[in-house]
Amino acid sequence: MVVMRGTPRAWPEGLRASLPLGLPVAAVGMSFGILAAPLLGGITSIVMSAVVWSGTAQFAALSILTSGGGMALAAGAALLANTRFLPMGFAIAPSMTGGPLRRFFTGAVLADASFVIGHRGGGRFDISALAWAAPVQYVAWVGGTVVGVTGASAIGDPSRWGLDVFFPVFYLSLLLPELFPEHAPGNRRPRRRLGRSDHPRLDPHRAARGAGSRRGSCRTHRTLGAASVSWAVQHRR
Amino acid sequence: MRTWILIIVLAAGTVLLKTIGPVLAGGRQPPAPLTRVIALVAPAVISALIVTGTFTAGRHLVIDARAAGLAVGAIALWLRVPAVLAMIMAAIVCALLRFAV
Repeated sequence: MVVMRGTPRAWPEGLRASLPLGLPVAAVGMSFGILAAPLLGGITSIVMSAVVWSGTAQFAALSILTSGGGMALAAGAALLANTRFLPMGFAIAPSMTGGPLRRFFTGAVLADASFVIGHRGGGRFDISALAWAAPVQYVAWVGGTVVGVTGASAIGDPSRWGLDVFFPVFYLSLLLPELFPEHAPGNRRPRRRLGRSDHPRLDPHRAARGAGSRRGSCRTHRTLGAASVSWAVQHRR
Repeated sequence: MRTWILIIVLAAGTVLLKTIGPVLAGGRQPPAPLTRVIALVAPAVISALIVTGTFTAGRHLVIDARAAGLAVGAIALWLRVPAVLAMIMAAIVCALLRFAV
């Protein structure tokens, strides 16, 4: 199995791939700030976003508290929502290098979007791209919360502007290339039927060339084109 | 004070859940059957996020303007429109529907 442990270009790729997500993440963070500020207080809401950094968990806790539930119930619901990070952590683990401390900090910045951005198909992850995707999301999340807390009255309900649909559409933009590589944005190359002899696993030199090329235009597979071909071959059978 | 305790518990719990896998299984090659399962984790997680982000309101399943927005976004993405533009189109449709209803 070809394991992708990062490439010299992985960090700008992670940052670049993460930028479009800044908008929906900030929008959702803003929603959290608007909803949480009246209940938790402005500063507390911002600190919560800064140290917890998990929209699903924060919204889960907020919904429990809003409906009159206790702190223990809110914590339980929030952590239950975050149990998805357990299989996600084990999924990225084989692609990781370095000591336990390095792996700890890389795992700590794991987020839904960076998990997707770092995915190279076939269970392989580019850990550098995954880690470098995190800063944009963190800034967008905390910044969005700050905007929501401070400008709640001026902005009003973000769903009024349709901002709540940003998130699912963005994730759909990441899912489509996973399922249909030929429908990745910008991928206009004619489809070519891949024979077994084209399989990059059977030709490590081809895989290495593909991994370093920019020819693959599929969003999540751009840096590691060979891996994406492998994914496509596997899933068209 | 209880809110701060909640935040600390959530922060510690989230970091723990995120780091158990990387710390315990980092760098080790899993068995082939597990690899096949791992390959499906990302699409499954993304699908779940799309569904919960579109069809839930609190603890209820709903079909509202977000579904129409998602449909528009899906068509745009299928036609290879850039993701940011597809998101804006979806938001406009969603907002117009809410305004009209």
